[in-house]
Amino acid sequence: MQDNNQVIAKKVHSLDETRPAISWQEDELWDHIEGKMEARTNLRRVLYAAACAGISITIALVLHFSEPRAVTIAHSFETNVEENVALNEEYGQLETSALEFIRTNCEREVEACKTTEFKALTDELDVLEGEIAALDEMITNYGDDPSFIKSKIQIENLRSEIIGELVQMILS
Amino acid sequence: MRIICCKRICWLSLIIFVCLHPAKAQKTVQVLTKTVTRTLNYEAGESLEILAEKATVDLEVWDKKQIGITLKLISKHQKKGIAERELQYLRYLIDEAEGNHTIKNFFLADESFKKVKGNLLIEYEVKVPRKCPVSIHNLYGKIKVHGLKNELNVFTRFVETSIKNCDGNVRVESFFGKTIVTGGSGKLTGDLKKSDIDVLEFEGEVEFESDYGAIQIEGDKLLALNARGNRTRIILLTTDPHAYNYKLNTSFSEIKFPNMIVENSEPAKNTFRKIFREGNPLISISTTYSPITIKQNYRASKK
Repeated sequence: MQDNNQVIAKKVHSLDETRPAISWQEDELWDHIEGKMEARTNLRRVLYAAACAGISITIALVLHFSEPRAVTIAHSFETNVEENVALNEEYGQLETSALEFIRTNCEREVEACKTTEFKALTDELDVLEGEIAALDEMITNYGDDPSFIKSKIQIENLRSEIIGELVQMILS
Repeated sequence: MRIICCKRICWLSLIIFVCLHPAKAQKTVQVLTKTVTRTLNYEAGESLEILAEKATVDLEVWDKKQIGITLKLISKHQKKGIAERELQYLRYLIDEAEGNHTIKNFFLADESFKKVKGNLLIEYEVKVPRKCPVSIHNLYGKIKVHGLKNELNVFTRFVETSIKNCDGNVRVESFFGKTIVTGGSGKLTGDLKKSDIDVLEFEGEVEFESDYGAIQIEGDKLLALNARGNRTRIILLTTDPHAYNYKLNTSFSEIKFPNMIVENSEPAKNTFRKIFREGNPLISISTTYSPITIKQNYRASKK
């Protein structure tokens, strides 16, 4: 019978013989280990960078779509007292007859109608007619706002003033 | 018995008063407000243009390097459905172009559109850096500008405008408008048609062209005033009329002075030239069919 030492010596010897012949120098071994560790660290860095980028993009998207471009629609009520701002129709009729008076006189070639001042005033009247048309278009698009009526009264007042001056020029 | 009678009379009077008093028409209106909030990045030298229609524009300055915009598109009608539908007609554009930012509102409807039944309004609240050059166009509405320190151009039609403490070049073009300029310094120019302008305590040069309007300038800090008017009433109020030199002319009207400038002045005079002291700022005014008035103002601040 072989004793235990002999058995182990025999086994170990045979194991050494059967293993592939890989032998590491100490420096090579450490280089190998460090290489493996570096590869693992690089992978970790990539994962960290991806996570940071993801978080940053999420924050940017939240900011982008929240505060700066916020569009909200609110519903409320308002109790208004209707403003009675209206043009005086009777006054409009007086103006029409004054315009008719001016037209008739100028057709008769009254001297006053030929002056530069008279022509300048009639040009102003044409400008005001255009403004009334533009104002009517605004009322169509934006509604019957009291400010529009006030603007119309402003135009009508100046128009009346000019018509008055034209009549005076013909009469004088 | 008498007390009861008095009470009855009082009640009867109250009832008669309530019945006969003309009741003012009240109506509840549904208001839909679409609020748009944006912040634009701002670099030095960039400018802002606001193209508004039927809008109230309120522009102020702040210390941020950004342009802050709150735009409210408002639709009012008694029926919510109509207010909702008509709100769709109000459109806006915020363009963050390099060098010049633009904010704009406009009306857009399809071919079947006939007339708005309610009332559509637009409100701008804008904050800009102090040195940001700004142009504002508005058609029917109001404008308030406060504190700009570079360049402001305002183009309006049927708009009430208030410009407070703005320094630099301020230019106003107004058609059927009312403008009030309070404080500020630099150069103020205006092309005004059928418009009124009031200038209070502006320090610097003022130059106006005006047709069918009224100009009133109050204060003692003018470095020059050049006003050319046609059918425009022009008034200058100052605490010390001797602090300026004058070149005034009006056709078919008169020049009015305080007695301290021209003793025994003839009110019918329509031309006046006077150099009180070399180096005094020159007040040069000409107009037609309207008076020129120089007034001594005891309330204005001292120069």
